[in-house]
Amino acid sequence: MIDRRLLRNFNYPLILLVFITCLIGLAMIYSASHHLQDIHGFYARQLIWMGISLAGIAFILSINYQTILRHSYGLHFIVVLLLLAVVLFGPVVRGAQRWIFIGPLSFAPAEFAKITVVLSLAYYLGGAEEVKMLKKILTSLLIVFIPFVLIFIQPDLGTALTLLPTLFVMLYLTGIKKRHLLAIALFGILIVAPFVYHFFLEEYQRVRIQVLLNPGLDPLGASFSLNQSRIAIGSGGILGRGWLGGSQTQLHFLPAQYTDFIFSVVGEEWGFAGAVGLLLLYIGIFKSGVRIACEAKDRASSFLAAGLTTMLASHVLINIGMTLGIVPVVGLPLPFLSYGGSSLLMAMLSIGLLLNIHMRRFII
Amino acid sequence: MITKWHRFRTIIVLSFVVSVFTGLLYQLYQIQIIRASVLYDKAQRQHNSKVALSPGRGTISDRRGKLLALNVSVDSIYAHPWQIECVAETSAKLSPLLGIPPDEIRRMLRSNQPFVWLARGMDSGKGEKVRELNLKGVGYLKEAKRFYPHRELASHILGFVNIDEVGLEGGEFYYDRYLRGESGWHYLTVDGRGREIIPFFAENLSPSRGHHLILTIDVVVQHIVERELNATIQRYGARAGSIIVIDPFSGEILAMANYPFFDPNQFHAYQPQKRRNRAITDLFEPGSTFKVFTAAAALEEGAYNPNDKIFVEHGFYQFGSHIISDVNPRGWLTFSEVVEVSSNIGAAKIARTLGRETLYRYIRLFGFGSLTGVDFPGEIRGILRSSLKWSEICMGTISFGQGIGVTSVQLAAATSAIANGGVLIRPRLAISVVDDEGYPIKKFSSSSKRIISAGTADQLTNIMVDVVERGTARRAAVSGYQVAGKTGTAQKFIDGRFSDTHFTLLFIGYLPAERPEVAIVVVIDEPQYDRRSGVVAAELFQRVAEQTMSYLRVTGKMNAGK
Repeated sequence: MIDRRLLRNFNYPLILLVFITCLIGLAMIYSASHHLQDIHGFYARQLIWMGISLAGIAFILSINYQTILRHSYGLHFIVVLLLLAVVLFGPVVRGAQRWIFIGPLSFAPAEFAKITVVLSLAYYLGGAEEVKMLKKILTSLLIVFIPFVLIFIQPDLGTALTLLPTLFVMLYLTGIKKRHLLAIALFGILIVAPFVYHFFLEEYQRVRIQVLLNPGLDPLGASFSLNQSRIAIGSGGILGRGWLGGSQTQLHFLPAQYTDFIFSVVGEEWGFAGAVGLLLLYIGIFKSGVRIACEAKDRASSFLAAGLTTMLASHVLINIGMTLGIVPVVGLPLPFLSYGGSSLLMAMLSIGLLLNIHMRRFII
Repeated sequence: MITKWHRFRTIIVLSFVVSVFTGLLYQLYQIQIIRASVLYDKAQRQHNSKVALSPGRGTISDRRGKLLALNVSVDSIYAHPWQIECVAETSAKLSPLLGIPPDEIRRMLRSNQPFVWLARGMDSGKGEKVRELNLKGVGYLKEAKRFYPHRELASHILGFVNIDEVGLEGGEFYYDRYLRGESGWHYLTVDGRGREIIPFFAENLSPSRGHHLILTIDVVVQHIVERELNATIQRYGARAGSIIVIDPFSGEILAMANYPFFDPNQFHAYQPQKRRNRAITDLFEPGSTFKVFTAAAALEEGAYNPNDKIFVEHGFYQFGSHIISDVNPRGWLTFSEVVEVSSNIGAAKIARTLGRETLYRYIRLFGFGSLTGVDFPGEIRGILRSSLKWSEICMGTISFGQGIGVTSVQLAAATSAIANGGVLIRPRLAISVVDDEGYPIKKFSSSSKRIISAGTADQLTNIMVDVVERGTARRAAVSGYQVAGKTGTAQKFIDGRFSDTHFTLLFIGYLPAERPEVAIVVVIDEPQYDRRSGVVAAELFQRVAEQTMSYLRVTGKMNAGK
């Protein structure tokens, strides 16, 4: 299946950028967790997941992504079933039902829903060039809406929210008129957001949004994470406190410091220089994604590449915005950096798909 | 196929993403560059805390080395609340041992602090008992606690310290910088769950012990003074009283006592007014004792000789718009006799001859109206108005000690100046500060200044000897010694007028008159019996003087400390 032409068209810079980012993540996870009782636990397990993810990329590359695209609905259906199972039967871990346990392994179906949503949308929009705009929009909404609701009630607000910009960007790229898009955006912001805020958000989630507007609200309670994260990033200064030298990190003042708040560790230990460097790495990855979308051989492939890139980018923007106190605190991993098998695998498989699209852009 | 507008829209999306990234970059700049130092300080504050380690305070002893304040080893019980496994059980077990209600212990154990004191200053040995309970997160430290073995003795001079051994009052406060030593610190680093992390960044600073203070006080004299003061106070139902025994040549205070007494070991149990060193912080009118200083001015100025005659108007004298009267009406008196029989009219006439400025100058020379500089906190100047503001009658009454406020320590310094031949010397409570090996770190001395000639001082001594031998102070005579002295009775100024029922009784004196070893000032405030009798203060002086002299004879001449 993989011939020399495919290797020649392989996007080496992208895989290199991703690999570097993963290694930074590994170093940060080690720094953030080496005081914990399970001394080698977290970074060793992340290393194993990196291996699994690379194998996953290799597997994805070995199949023509067109084949995967054709099975989008089926895959999406399976993931929705898994999400349903999680909500119905999943064990409650730290107040949420997110994981499915198979022996010693656990994985979060919501992570895979992100990919199948993009696949299904790309597949649908790619083949629905002649369909009426209204029907196109409604079908797209239906594809996103079911997993969105199931993820929302887990509850996992962060993951659910990342689906929306993805949908938005993909609809935009299909050629929807600007005023339609604007109408949807306004509808979302003016009608749905306050409605959701009042009726569907848990109290702690509402407090998190209020805290963002007023960080002094409750320094030991709800705004604790936010304040601690700012203190960590700020005390990093220009060059940082050095690896394993950030006292906020080493003394575990940061909440979820090896998962959702790992960017704070980068900010404290490697400073402004390290944080900007990391942002540039991400920009590099997204630029590759956009280039792949532009050079893809057909509409569906282009949508798929753009959707995956948008999905990864919204993770990065929301997560970093959260640690910097621009976005409310929602549980959302930072792709390639945060500890967590499912999220790493999801991000890596997305990269695998991007590489696949790029590699096979000339094959008819 | 990928159309041009599709590509265009893709670029639009990318630029949107990049602009959001720019926003993040700006926020990073704000946090990491603009506010970096503020946030770094915040981080340091929440990571680090420290606990003081007591350094072991220096001792205080009297001039012969008797310890007046020392440290005993005590056990202080502490807890690391985050280590406590069962708060209820721990507090139930500790409560009987520490004598603290379980509720209160529970409250302390629920603290967010990494380290709390549960009980400080427990008897030595308590700590071991606590350790035997084998409670996780509870331990003890050996600490030093201030102990005053003589309890009330010299309490006002010593003062006291707080739980952290910081001097709060008296000598403990005044000489705190020598006594306290350098406090050590136990630095704590605290993690996100409030737990103490010792190996991370931790370092301790060992405390260094304080120096020792040697006072001018002699415990035996102090004891005599306090016993006799107490006896007199009880007998006459007085409100308060002070006595100072001072070496007139060195300015060293051998004893300084005040009633009411207090026990510095339990200073909390006493009202602040009982803990005041009245001899230094309270003022009163000196009454007739002040005639001595008026006489000193007259003799020094050459305005009078001791044998000059003064007509004292048979008891009533129109002085400006007021009348000055004498208790014992007389006709003609010599200058000496004016002091001997304590004639107010005589004193007022002497003052008129001297004039306001001269009288005022001598009052200032004797140190009234200014601080003596005694080494004790809270000294006051008393009240002395400028002579420019004196009315005629004001000058008259000041000459016999009305309309002026003085302190016991001012009187002691002024009396010493006559006793030692005319030199005003700064009264002093400390001899030296020594280190652990007894090597002096600092020696104290008194500044001095001649204010009257030795001849004038001699003449005053002769007059004051006559006061004791023939005049108003015969009860002050001590067998085997010539005593120089002067009584005084001052009506207290209450509610805007001089009271007929509230008096301050005074005596100033020194002995042996020819070569004084001690000068003594006695002040009794508001006795209820024999309210205005000079005898009360004179008798008290006599008992203190007699016992002090016989003690000094036994021990020989004063050896000034080490």
